[in-house]
This record gives sequence, structure tokens and C-alpha cells, in this order.
Amino acid sequence: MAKLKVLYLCHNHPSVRPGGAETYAFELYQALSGSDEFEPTFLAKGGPPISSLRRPHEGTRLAMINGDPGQYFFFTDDLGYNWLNGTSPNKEVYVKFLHEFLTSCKPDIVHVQHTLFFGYDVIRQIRNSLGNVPIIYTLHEFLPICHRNGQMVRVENDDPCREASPRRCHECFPEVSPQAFFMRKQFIQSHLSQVDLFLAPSRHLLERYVEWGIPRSKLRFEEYGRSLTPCETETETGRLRNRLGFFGQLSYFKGVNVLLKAMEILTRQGAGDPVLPSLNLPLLGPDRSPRPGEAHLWVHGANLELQPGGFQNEFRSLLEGTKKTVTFGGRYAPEDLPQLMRTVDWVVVPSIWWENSPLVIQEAFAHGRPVICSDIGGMAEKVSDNVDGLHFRAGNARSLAQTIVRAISQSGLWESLHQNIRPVYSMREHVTVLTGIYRDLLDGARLGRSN
Amino acid sequence: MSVQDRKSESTTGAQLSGERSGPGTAAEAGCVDSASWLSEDLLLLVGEFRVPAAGPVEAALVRGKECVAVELRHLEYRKPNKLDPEAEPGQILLAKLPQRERPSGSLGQMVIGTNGHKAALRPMELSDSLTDLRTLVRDSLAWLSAQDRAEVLAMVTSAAGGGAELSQNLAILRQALRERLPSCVIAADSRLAVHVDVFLALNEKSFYIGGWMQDHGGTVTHLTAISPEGHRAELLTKAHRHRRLDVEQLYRDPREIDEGRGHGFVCYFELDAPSRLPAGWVVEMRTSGGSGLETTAPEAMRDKKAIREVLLSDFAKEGPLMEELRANHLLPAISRFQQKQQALARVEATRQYGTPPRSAEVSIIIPLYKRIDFLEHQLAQFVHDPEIAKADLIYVLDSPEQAELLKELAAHLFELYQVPFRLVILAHNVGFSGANNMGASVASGRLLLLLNSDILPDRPGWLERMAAFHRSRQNIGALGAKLLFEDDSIQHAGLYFSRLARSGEWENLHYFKGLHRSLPAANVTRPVPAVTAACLMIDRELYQKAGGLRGIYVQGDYEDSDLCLRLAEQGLQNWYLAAVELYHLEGQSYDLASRSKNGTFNRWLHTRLWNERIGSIMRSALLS
Repeated sequence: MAKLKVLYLCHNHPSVRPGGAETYAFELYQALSGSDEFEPTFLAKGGPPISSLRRPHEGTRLAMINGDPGQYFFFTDDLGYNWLNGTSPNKEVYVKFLHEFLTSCKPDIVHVQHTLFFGYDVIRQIRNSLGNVPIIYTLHEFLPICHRNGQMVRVENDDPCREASPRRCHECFPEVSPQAFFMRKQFIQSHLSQVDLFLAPSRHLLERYVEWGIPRSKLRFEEYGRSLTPCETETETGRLRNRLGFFGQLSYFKGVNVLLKAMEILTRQGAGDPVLPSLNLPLLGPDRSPRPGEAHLWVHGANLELQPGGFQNEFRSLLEGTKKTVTFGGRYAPEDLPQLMRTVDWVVVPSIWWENSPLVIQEAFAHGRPVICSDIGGMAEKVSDNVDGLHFRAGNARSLAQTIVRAISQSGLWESLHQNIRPVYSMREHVTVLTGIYRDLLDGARLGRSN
Repeated sequence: MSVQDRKSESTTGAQLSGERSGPGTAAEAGCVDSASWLSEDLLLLVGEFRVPAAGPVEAALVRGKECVAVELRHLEYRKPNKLDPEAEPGQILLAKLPQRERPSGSLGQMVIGTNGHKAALRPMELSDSLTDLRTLVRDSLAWLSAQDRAEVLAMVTSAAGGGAELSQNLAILRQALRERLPSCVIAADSRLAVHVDVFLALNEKSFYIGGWMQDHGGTVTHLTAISPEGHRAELLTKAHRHRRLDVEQLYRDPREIDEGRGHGFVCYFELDAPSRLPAGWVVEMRTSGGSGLETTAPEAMRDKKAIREVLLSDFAKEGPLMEELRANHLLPAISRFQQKQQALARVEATRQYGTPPRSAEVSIIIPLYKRIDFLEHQLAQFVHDPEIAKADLIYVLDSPEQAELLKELAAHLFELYQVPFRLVILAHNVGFSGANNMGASVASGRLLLLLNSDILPDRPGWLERMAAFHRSRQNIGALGAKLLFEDDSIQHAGLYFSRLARSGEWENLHYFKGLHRSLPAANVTRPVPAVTAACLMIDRELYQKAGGLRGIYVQGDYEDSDLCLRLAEQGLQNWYLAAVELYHLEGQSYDLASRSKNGTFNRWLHTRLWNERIGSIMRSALLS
């Protein structure tokens, strides 16, 4: 029997830039490539703004990726992508070029990983071109809900935002009228109404989408499965657990500056600054030389240059002020991760936005590292406070500093949290669940057809 | 010098040629020195000849056997410094050729006749005398006496016909030949001065002028606007006068000035003949003592937006004699302006996307103005409602500069959403009422639904609900629906009128605006004084018979209640249907400041037209 074709649609390819969603989506594509029943195709949005390659060959919108017949770049339009409504103003992209691809490739299932830079119209076009093939849509963040890059963080004060509304969104973007935000929502929901099933990798995110208007019956919780090789577990006991690691994009919303500010507080604390009156744990000696109890942070991450200038400056200046206790490791390759994880005891996830299901938490757990994270959203959901990690008040450097002090000074804490870490949800299990979902939806679609 | 105005009939022209075999047989009694075209069919000629005999002068152009009669006017003048008193007198001729288009090449020889006497004028071929107008004026006319020049101008200005070329040539003549008054110089000690601040061309014959004048001794008898073509209009008697504090300050006149005798003047006026040239207007001021001065008006404003801005800003001013200014000057000015826009209403092109439904009951008419992106937003909702695909959906583009963009977008959006619709592209921007009326003119449904492009349904079923309600009511005029703001509060639940305390004008208000959509009082379907045209269902024939939305209002306000009042006048009832809820995301197409200015005029006009009827409607609404 011929294999069933699954088309994955993603806004980027990890070989261009390794973001979380595309990394997961591509791991899924690779995992499904080994299936006897399904044959995956990976269609990644090519070209700007992520890649500098502006155009594929003359006369086509497609380009190969690494010679793999199952992977393509699809070029939409360089210019004029409508960020507010998430649509390309050049509808030819959909009605002509995407239509040609879809009717040539003839997938049995379309699993949308991301519509960014494609535009939500792709969903309507899939329906038009392919009839009632099942359409699955994995929700990676809050982009359909929130115009602020899907982060749901208020512009005014960086507080996490609990609900979008035309008025509240207008407060964040005064240049966009409440009416325009209403139209944005209606437009996006019109397209999303064609999706058969949404997958939410965190329960927190699932609830937000229910509140926003996606019927609960169309939403299903399904964690990201990961193909991670666990490194050997650390067995040494009694050792100081004072090495912290940050892994990920050096972006404002990822909270790296909150972490650096916490390190700055700890440095000042050592110098006699009574910023932590409740803790009598000087981390620097009176001569300002490092003492055994001092925390040390490795920052591993890239893409600082893509961030706003103010953030970059603050990052650099914080790094300068904490250079005794912070080491900047810069960019790393995914395959280097086990090695880098081995050099830290704790992984800090200080995001100021809700997060969905941060891959770095799974990576930390796969390597047996307890996680210190913000006490909100997907982070609080995936890391249990005092079980396999520690929570601190999101966005609050002082709270993080206190948590770090506790983490490195409370004897036995690391070991007990470490022991509670459960195995990470594997890609193998995930694929089993997903293929079950695919089959169910195909059965449903066939029933629908026979009716 | 004497002017003679004669039309030579064609029979006479034939006589002129018929009695001889060629032009040579007529006595050669003079010549045409030079000739120049004033327009396609009008020739100005300068020559020397004696009219053969007393009586009406006839003229024809003779070429071989052909003889073409021409209408002729001529002025005879005595040439100065001529030693020979027997020399032929000077003649200035205005000849109107019968053909519409200017002949190219040979014209033939000009023959004139009086009482059977005829004379052929050299040269044998009149076209040899052709020269450009400026040369003719410089060589032959500029040196005439002031009185002769004035007569030449009067003869030429009164020439019938029009056209841009004639306007231009009249202006050239006038510029060269007219006798000028002293130019106005503004100084603190002048006893006479005139200045024009604003000058609008509303159409080719209607103008709006504003400025100020200083008339220290009260001796001014005439204030005259003169077009570049030479047409005149008297302003002083009808102008609205108002105080100008800045001018009073300049002249430091200690006298108390009455409001109606202030320095400022504003005047709407009409010319008898069209004027097409924006530049070259002059305003003359003359006194009882025979002195006078003149000033050049600024170039006539023709830009639609700028004109509207000036008129509506003047309208919105406050002051003692405003009512007189509004009624006598601004109302006719704005009306002419609006009429001109409405007269331009024409369908440039119609495109059908998809297969039109067969015998649709409802035609939905949606004007698009600037925000053509709303089309996409509406289709993204209409796609969920099969009733829309069964309707005659008509989008009317009222910003034609976007036509090409929209055609492409519409084709793609049809492919994407597969909701059939028609696109009607207007030749000119004609405003909300004109766009709706043009849409209605091509509509096929028994019912019309006027719908704004910023209305979004959030669920299907509403269209049939409206149509069903309309079917169920005898005697129904307009049917409206519940419209919502984006925060689920009521934008419209029927329209009523409320008197403004200060002006006594009736203002249009919406019932329950700002309250939540679930308000029990708003959930009652009932007759209302009027409904908004943002969503208005009406029988198509009724709409057409009533004349549709009237273009006398400025841009999208009050024309809906005006229609509803006309329906009420016929004894029909306007209804609010509570069971249909649609979102109306209003106010994104144009800015609120201009809307409020439009509103000032529209409200005034609306009250002027409907004061009594609104009064009786609102009295009975209060009683019920």
C-alpha cells in the first residue's frame, strides 16, 4: 500500500536559523521519515526576512533543501507582509503558487507548524486546493492572539498579558485602532476555522486559545516529543552546585537581562551592598576575591544582533559589570549542547513571557539538570517548584537572585531535585500519538466524504 | 466705430458665388492683412476695405465652385495718421465658420457683400494671412485707442461658444487690449483698497470669492469680478459683509463699524458665460466720483478637497450674520459644488467575479472608498455564509485611482474565497450617496441592502432574516439592524432626532449607543424615525422612485435620515430589526475632524429641509 503523505508547513528551516518551533518541526519530519505508513514532506518558508536569499530559480517559487526530495523552500513575497493581520498582500502567492504546489504534491494530511510569513490564508488555500484533507495546526506561541510577536506581554510595563481585546491591544499599539484589532481577530479566526485540530504543547497555552475563541473540542494537549540523547547522569555528591547555564536566543522576552541583573545584585551583595538583608551569605570576600560559594553563569546563545539596540546595549553593559561571575559563550551548535550542559548544574529559564513548552527545559531535564524558571505559563507548568526545579517571580531580578542563592547554598537541594526529574517525552512516543491522530482524522474525513 | 452683427444665411452665401464663375469676377475692394483662429470655428481678421454699399454685410469663403457662408461681425474704425482721406477704413472681423472642426489647408477667398454688391478681399487664399494671435494683436490692435480696444473686447467677449482654446485666446486679447485701472496698493493711509483672499471655481459659471475692501468715504459704487475671458459679475450689492479686525487694525479707523458693513466680503456669484481659466481674474472697484482701482485675484481654486475645506470651514464659523452667509452664499456654493460632483457619476467599468446567482432577491451594495483592504475582511466572513453567495453582491469603487490595484486583488480574492461578486468601478469619486446610487442603478435584486465596507458579520443567517422581515411587512420603508462596536456595545439600534439647545437644529442620534448589545430595550423590533445607511434594506423600485440617497449632503452623513424622512413623507414606516446583529467598525475610512465639519453643514441643511416633519415625528415618538 502506498504511504500516506503528510505535508509539514513551517515558517523557516532550522538549517537557516535554529528557532525552537522549526527545530522541533524538523525533528518530527526526520522521525516520520522512518515510518512505513507515512511519508512526510517539509515545506519551509524561504527567503527574507530570515534568509538573505531573495529568489529561487527563475519561474518557480520553490527551491530544494539539501537535495532531499522531501524538503522544499517556498518563497512568498519579500516585501509587504502584513504583520498585523498575518497575510501576504500578494494573493497570487496562495491562489497560484501554493495551489500549484499543493495540487502537485497531493498530501493526504497537512500539518501546519507555523503560518508566520506564509500568512493565515494558506489554510484557506489548503482547503480550496485539497478539499477536505485533515488540517492540523500546532500552536507554538500566541501569535494569532497577540500582535506583539505572539508574546502576550504588555508594552507599557512588560507585565504578562492575560487576555487580548481590541481595547487592550490598542493600548499596546496606539497606532492601531481597536476596530482594526477586531478585524484582525475576525480575519485570523476566519482562516483558523478551517483547521480540524489544533495541538497545544502546554495546557496553559491551550486554555488561552479556548478563551480567545477556538472551540475546546478542536484543541488537544500534546507535548513536543524530542529526539534527545541523555548524557550520563552526574553521580558525584557533596560537590558545590554553583554553576548556572542560560541557553537560547539572546532576546528581551527570553529574560536574559533579568538573569544578568540578578548576577549583578549578587556581585553587589558580596561588596557589602545590603540588597538581600534576609540572607547573610556574602559571595565575595572582603577583598572582593571569589569565594567558594560564588555562583557562576555561562550564557550560551546568539542572535543578539537581531534585537533592538536598547536591549543590546543593556545586555553588553550588564555583561561588562558582571564579568567576574558571568562567562559569555556565544553561539552554539545543537550537537554541542550535551557538552555544554555537562559544565553547568542548573539551567535558568528566566523568560518574561508565558512561554509555551520551552525546548530548553526538555533539554535540561534530558541531561538531568534541575531548572530555575519564571513562575508563569508554560515554564511553571513544565517545571514543578521544589520538585524538579525552582520558581522565581517572573521578571524580578531580586527574586531570581534570592533563588540562585538558595540553589547554590542549600545543601542537598540539587540532588533531591535532580532525582525527581522524569524522563523527557520522546519523539518515538510522540510520533505514535501523532500517527494515531492522523489516522483518526483521515477516517473522519473519509466518513465525511461518504456522507 | 460701429459694430455690425450679421448672420449671412447660406442662401445669401450661394448668391455671392452663384452670380459669377470665380472670385475674380467680384471687384477686389480691399484686403485681409492678418487672421488668427480664436477657436475651432472662430476667426479674428484684421483688414482694410470699404463695405460695398449700405445694408447688412454678408460674407462667404469661396474656393473654386465651393462657397461656404460664414457668420460675420465687424467693427469699422478710422485709421489714424492717414494722409489720404479716401483710403479704405480699417476693419476688424469676427467670422464664425459653419463647420465644427477647423479646416486644414486651403480656406478660399473671403468675399463680402451688401445689398447685391460684393467685394472679394485679397489675398486669393485667406490662409496666407493666418498668423498667431499674439502677432496679430501686437501689429494690428494694440495701438488702437482705448475706446476702440474696449469695443473690440466687447465684440469678441460676447462671441458665443466656449472651449479651452477660446478661453485662452480671449484672455490673451483681454490682457493686451484692456484699459487698466490703477493697481491697488495696500497702505495704512489709503482711502480705497481691495484684496481677494480666497477664490473658488465651483463650476465654469459659479464662483465663490472672499476678501476685504477699504471704502473710507463710502463712495464705492461697484465691486466687479472680471474673468480672464472678460465676463463680469457685480459683487457689491449681494456680497455678505463682515468685520475684519485685522483690517480695522491696519486702518486704525476710530469709527464704530456695524457688523453688516465690515471690511470683509464674501460672495457667491454666477457668470453668464463659462470661464475656464484659473488665472487672470481681476476685481475692479469704482467710486461715484469716477475713480477706481483693481486687484488681481489669486488663481481660482479647483481642487475638490481644498474647495470643500474652505466652504465647510466658512460654514462652521460663528458670528452674528452667519445665517445670511450660509443661506445666500454657502448653500448655493456647496450645492453647485456637490451637483458638479454628482454629475460626474458614471460607471467606468464593471467586472463579474464568479458566476452570478440566478434571480437573486437581494442586491447588496457596498461602496469602497480608499480602504480596499476591507473587501478582504468582508469576504473572509461572507465565505462562511451560503446566503451571501445567493445574493447579488456589488462592490462600488468610489476611489477610482485604485481601480487597477483592486481589479487584481478582487480576482485573487475571488479565487481564495469563491464568493461571487461584481465590481463596479466609477469614473470619478462621487461620494457615499453617489456610489450607492450607482450601485443601485446596476442592481438586479427586488431588494437593495446598502451596506458599509466596515461592517462585519460574525455568523451566518442575517441576510435572510432581514429579507424575511422585509417580506412580512406591508408599508415598510427602510429596514435597519442592530450594529455593534468592536467591544460589543451598541453602535446603532435605530436613529432619532434631537434638537440642539443652542442652534435649534436637529441632530441625528442613535438609540442606546454605547450600551451593551444585550440591553432589553434594544432587543425590541420596532418602527423608528430612521435607520443608518451603513446597513439599510429597501425595495429597489421604491429606492429608485425616491431618487436614492441625495447628493446635496457632504460625504456620508444625514443622507440616510433624509431618505428615511422622504419615505415617511410617503406614509411608509422605517423599521429597526433587533434580531440581526452586525459589527460596524466605523470611522476608519476618514478622519473625525472633517466628519465634524461636514456634519455642521449637513445638520443645518437637514434641519432646513425637514424641520417641521422631524418635529411632528419626534412628538409622536414621544407620545407612543
